[in-house]
Amino acid sequence: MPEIVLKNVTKRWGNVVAVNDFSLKIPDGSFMCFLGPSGCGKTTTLRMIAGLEEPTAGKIYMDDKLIYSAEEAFSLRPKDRDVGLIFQSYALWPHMTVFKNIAFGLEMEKLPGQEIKKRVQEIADLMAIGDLLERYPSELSGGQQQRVALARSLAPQPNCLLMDEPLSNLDAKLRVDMRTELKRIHSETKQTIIYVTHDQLEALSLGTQVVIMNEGKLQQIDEPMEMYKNPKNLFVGEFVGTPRINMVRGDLIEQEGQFGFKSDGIFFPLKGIEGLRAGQQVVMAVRPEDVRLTKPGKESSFVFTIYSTLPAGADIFARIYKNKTFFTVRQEERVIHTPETAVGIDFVEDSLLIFDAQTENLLGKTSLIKKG
Amino acid sequence: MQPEIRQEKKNLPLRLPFIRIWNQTRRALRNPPFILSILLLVVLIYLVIAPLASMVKSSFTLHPRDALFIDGGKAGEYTTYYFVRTFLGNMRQVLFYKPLLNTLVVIFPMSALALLIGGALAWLVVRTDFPWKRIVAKIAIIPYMLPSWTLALAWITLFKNRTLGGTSGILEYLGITPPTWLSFGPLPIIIVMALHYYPFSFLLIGSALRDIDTRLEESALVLGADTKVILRRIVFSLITPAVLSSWILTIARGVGSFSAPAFLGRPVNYQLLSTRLYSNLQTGSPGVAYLLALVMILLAVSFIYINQKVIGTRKGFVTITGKAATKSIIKLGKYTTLVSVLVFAFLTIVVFIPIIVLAIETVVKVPGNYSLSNFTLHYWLGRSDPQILTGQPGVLRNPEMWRALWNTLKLGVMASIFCAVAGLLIGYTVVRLRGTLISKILDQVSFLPYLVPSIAFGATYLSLFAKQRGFIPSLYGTFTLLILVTTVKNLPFATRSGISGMMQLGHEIEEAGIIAGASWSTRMRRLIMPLQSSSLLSGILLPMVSAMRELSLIIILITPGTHLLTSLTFKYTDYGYYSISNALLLINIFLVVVLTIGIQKITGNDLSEGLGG
Repeated sequence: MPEIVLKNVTKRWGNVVAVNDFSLKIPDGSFMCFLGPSGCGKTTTLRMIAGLEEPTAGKIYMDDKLIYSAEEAFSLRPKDRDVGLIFQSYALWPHMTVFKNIAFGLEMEKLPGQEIKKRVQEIADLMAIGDLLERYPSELSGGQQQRVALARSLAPQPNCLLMDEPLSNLDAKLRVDMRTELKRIHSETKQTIIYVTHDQLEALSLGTQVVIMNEGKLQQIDEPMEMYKNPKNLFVGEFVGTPRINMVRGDLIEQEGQFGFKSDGIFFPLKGIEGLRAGQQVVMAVRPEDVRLTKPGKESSFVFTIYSTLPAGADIFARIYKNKTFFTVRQEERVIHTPETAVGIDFVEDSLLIFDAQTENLLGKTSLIKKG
Repeated sequence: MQPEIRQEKKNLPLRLPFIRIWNQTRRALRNPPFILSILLLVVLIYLVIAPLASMVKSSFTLHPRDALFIDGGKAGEYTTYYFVRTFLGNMRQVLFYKPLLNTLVVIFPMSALALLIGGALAWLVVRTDFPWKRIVAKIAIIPYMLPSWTLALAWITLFKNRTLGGTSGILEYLGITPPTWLSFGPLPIIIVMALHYYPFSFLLIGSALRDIDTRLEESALVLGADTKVILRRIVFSLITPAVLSSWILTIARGVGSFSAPAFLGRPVNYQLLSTRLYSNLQTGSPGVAYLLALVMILLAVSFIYINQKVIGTRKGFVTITGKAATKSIIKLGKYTTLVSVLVFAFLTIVVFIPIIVLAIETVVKVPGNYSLSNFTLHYWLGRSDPQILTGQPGVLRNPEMWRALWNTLKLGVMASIFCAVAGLLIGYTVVRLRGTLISKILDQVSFLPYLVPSIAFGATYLSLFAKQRGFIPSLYGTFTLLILVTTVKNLPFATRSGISGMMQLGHEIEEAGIIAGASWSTRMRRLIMPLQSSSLLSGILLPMVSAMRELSLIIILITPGTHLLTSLTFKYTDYGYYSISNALLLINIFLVVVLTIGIQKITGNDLSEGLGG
């Protein structure tokens, strides 16, 4: 089982930089999710690992073996890299039956016919498609095609499994089922999996590690929950989490001897922490579940107004505003407020993320100082 | 968590360049698309660019024979003799300006007429409740599948008059003497060519009309527009690019068309650029002929260029595809019967009457006498009789016919297979190497033959292959040359279909094979070819049919040993042996029709098999 190392990998197409000086170590046996908006370079990175794309600069190692070096113009052929790849479109061969699709890779390894038959049946049974072997891909449902694609790439027992948005063509319910399935396969096979997705929920729920990319650059590598709680920069904070994190642009100031954040005429007194000083232009961000609605006046000095309420089954989200500042709140109370109701707000301890307005990097986490 | 990146031992700086070169070479040699693209490029440059260059060069190089007439002239030297003679000299009117004017006089009305007929039929079939849509759509494209001079020969048979000597036509036999302007010259050329080329407009405008997204019309409907407004403001605007394109394409095609002008213009010495080019080659002035070919290429290219410029920005229209929902269909109502009668009368006149007329001519003993007593099968089955047409045997007993038939079949089959395979390979490399210079060059060069009018393209091949060059022998007079020229002329279509086939297939199908460890040949054999078989087969059909009815392209490359049905028809027409040429033409039509139907049957079957349905 391999450990994959990318060293200063860059991919350019003419003037377009798809992947920019990207270094990463993918530990053996991990389920590594590449997450980012479309065009961020995640699929390109995956294809470079598979050997379908050549980096413009940098090196790639698999275990201790060099598999790509731009400097030496060296590239190990995909078939010698021993990886499996699942395409977003599945790329099942439409003119071959399920059996032939799965058997193809084994045939290429020149295994004897009996052995191929046995292995195909085994893997097909594991994927619960054992009775579909004589069908053509066009006769299968989306979910079944997905399983065939998985079986086809698992059959030759590759060192490492690469998946490029494998679930994006499935409907919502199937997608959840397949996530469970993938996670189970990973825990059974302990195979290194690199998984590309633009769906942050998928990345958080599947990955042992999540890599966030934007515009070809690595933003953050972390365990999923860490990523959610401590985003390194504004992009990560904004990209991870639904509904989106609340963001307010403003200044850190000293007002009547009190340190705090001011924006849109609203002053939030803050606990001073290291790294924050008056005069900085910052963005204050807070997750919807870290905002609490209170009774106005009594428990909170902020008076906000309900803009609209969006019940979503388990949760009720409220959109509130004061002047031109809006917050999305995950309500604790299961109450549907009518618009224009006045509410107070409060923030959970240590939940206010302060980012530098220019660099957009996280400066620190702080809390509101409550009145009285 | 930052990745820990290990340090690895540095290569000795001196060794690095060698390692790079070694690795690059090794990988280039193991990269079949790359090697293939280089091979294809070399071949294409030789078969497309070199003939053009050679023709340009030949038109400015003194021909050995002409060297005798010019003081101090040496064969093979640079000369402006041909240029001056064609464009500036005493003969300029006859050699160039009159034919140019005649060409323009013919192609503009011709293309307008073709557009009108094709557009009206397309409209009828797609946008009205005309009850005979399917059958009309099928019959309407037949004229394009028939050899282009079918109508010309039928026209002659019907309208020929005795003022030019020779025999009379059917009309004259019936007591009506058609005036010469109706028998020969620009008017019949315009009509006959328009009736041959209108299927272009029919197909292009028809598919544009069909592909209009109905939601665009529905939006207007919801906003309160009535049918008239929708048609005028939306439908007509949307099909404008298709209308323009088909018009320009017809013009560009018309420039290079040889057969109708040759059959209907030459008898009254009404010369177009194409026929002038031919006679200049016959009378031994290749230099002049090549210059005329260059003018024709310039004409065609500028028309197509204008077309690109005009519709370039509006191209988006064409790609809109909609669902097959209800469109604002015009109800014909009480006019249904009238329209049906008119349409079927038209199709009968254009498709069936010509064939019947041609057939009648072949069973008439003494030309010009259409009484029953004059019936004969001599021109089909008869043995040589010195009394009739200087002893020409019936076509079915004529070994020349059988040789030509065999040659035609051979040419069609071989050229179309080469063409389809080349199209697939070029399509493959263009799509695989997309974004690279070599892919762009391959794409462009393989499209070039499209811009060159047929007879001019033939001229370029004549100039390049007339003598031995390097290790490549003179191919003039060989069958190989006919195969080459037909293959390359049809390459643009094959390449387009190859490229679009590969685009549709996407790269992931092959990449899945790469990951599975399949070699390039395995991937081609087991993944690409089977999935492209339908596009491959349809890529064979088009060139095969067009090769078997092509005259303009090969007429100047034909030698007595390499006659095809088409060129043989032309030869006998030139002799005035219409009975024989008509019989040959009927055999040719029969061949084309049988093959078309046969191949459609085969491709139909293979299509469903190929997709594993």
